[in-house]
Amino acid sequence: MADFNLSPEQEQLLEEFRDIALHKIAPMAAELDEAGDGRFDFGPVRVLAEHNFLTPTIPCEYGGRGLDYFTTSLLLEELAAACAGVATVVTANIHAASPIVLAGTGQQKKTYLPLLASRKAHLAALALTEPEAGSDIASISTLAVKNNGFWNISGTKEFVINGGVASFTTLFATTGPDKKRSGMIAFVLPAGIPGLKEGAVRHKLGIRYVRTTQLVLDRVHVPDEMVIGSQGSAYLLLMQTFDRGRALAGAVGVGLARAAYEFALEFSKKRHQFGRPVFDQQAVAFNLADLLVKIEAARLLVWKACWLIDNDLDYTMLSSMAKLAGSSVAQEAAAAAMDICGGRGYLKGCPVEKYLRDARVMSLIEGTNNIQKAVIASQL
Amino acid sequence: MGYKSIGRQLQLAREQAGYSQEQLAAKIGCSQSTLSNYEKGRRRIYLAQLEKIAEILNKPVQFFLQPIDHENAVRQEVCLPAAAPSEATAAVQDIKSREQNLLALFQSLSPEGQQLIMDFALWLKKREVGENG
Ligand SMILES: Cc1cc2nc3c(=O)[nH]c(=O)nc-3n(C[C@H](O)[C@H](O)[C@H](O)COP(=O)(O)OP(=O)(O)OC[C@H]3O[C@@H](n4cnc5c(N)ncnc54)[C@H](O)[C@@H]3O)c2cc1C
Repeated sequence: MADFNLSPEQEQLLEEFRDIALHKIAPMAAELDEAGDGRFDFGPVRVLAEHNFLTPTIPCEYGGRGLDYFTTSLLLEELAAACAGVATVVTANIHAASPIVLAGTGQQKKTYLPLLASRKAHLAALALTEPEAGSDIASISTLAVKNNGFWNISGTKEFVINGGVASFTTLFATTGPDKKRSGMIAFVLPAGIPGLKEGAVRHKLGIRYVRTTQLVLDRVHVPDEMVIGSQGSAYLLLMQTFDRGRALAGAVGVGLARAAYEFALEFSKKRHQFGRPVFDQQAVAFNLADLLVKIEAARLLVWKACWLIDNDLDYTMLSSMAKLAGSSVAQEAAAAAMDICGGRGYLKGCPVEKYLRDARVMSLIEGTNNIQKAVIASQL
Repeated sequence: MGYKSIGRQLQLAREQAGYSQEQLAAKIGCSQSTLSNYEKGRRRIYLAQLEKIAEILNKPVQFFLQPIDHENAVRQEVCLPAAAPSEATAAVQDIKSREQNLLALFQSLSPEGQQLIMDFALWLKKREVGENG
């Protein structure tokens, strides 16, 4: 039977999430955006690390909060309502940790997971995409060759969130491009390992707080102990990481949509034209009503996907639905909010302008919306 | 998204090991319809489950992810060396995958089971000859 009541612990955590988002993250959001992609400000992630919310899914035995996906979605919604960039950094940490949580050796777990639960802000990156391999992930060409018991890895990764500032990188490579899925292999690479270099910093339209870079691997030399998962399992590990992460990406979309909706609602009640608030125009109020329905629907998809993950049930399709719905409603709400706010919404410094730029990326990262539809369709 | 070919490999490995869907599903603790959906690629199999299946079917996980090569899969099963590419192409043209599966299944059966199949095939053949001329 469905139950939409939060447990007392979840209610308490939600209060905490809201407090941090509203009082500590939101006030910095405009400044972080303005500062741009060129520099990374550890301030916001330090705030989250102090509360051990920077990677909230890290199991308690490794010092983490051990939050389930449902509760994590509540955190991400609140953070994204304050700053989608900060929320995206948290999801990147969760994704990078996920393969280690799912299939890492005891030693890998002991070495890397406590870092992400530490009160010092540590970031992690997941490096999969390449200049010539985006949606078609089985075509990656970063090559891992084994020689005398060691792996040599060379190649270039693109669009890596937390690139250059991560304490470790979860890297996906191939042992031979012709082997496609069965040749995929995952490694955990600590920062500073010889041969791993930050490439170009990517300057973006939105989520400008999120440092996104190329990573260049030039004969990175690692032992077997850095391979994540059993031989041949990396493709499935990656898919499972995506399937779980997409539910959370949906939560980020819902948070951003909610913020845009709330801003537009308040604005429409204060802004008077023709002698009354613009909210009194049915066209405006109906627009807001439509948005609220879509936000609520997307949130329910996120919650259901997270519930399936937490209960170890089949979550693939719902996760893709949640991501599709969350990213779509974020874009729709941000665009509608700009219309409702009129010219003011278009000005630099108005939160709506940032919402619109931030929302735009949501149908691209973590698998484009077409890819989500392909995942859903493959299960019909 | 790649899961269709994983499903086909899964079906091949299950049939080679001589399990019905019901039997394998019972062993891994899922319903027959879930296993059927895995095999059709309509449901994504998660790593822990595939590792369990791989162990039961005595295959490395990689087997399920490799690009499909029915000819060599059957050759491995019947302990023949892998075919050279040109030879493989010719062989694939000669033997359809249904026949390969049947051969592998036949060879995985006990002598009694193989005898039953032979008897049944002979009976079927006689009947078809009677019906068709
Ligand atoms: C800000 C940002 C952060 C990112 N962070 C990371 C990260 O941390 N780590 C990482 O590894 N990657 C990251 N990515 C990469 C991201 O996951 C890819 O951009 C995304 O998967 C799409 O790949 P692509 O950009 O190469 O587009 P392409 O794959 O080239 O797609 C181009 C277009 O073709 C469509 N298309 C492609 N194939 C199909 C298909 N089969 N069916 C229908 N349509 C299709 C796509 O939907 C899209 O519209 C990030 C990207 C961005 C922009």
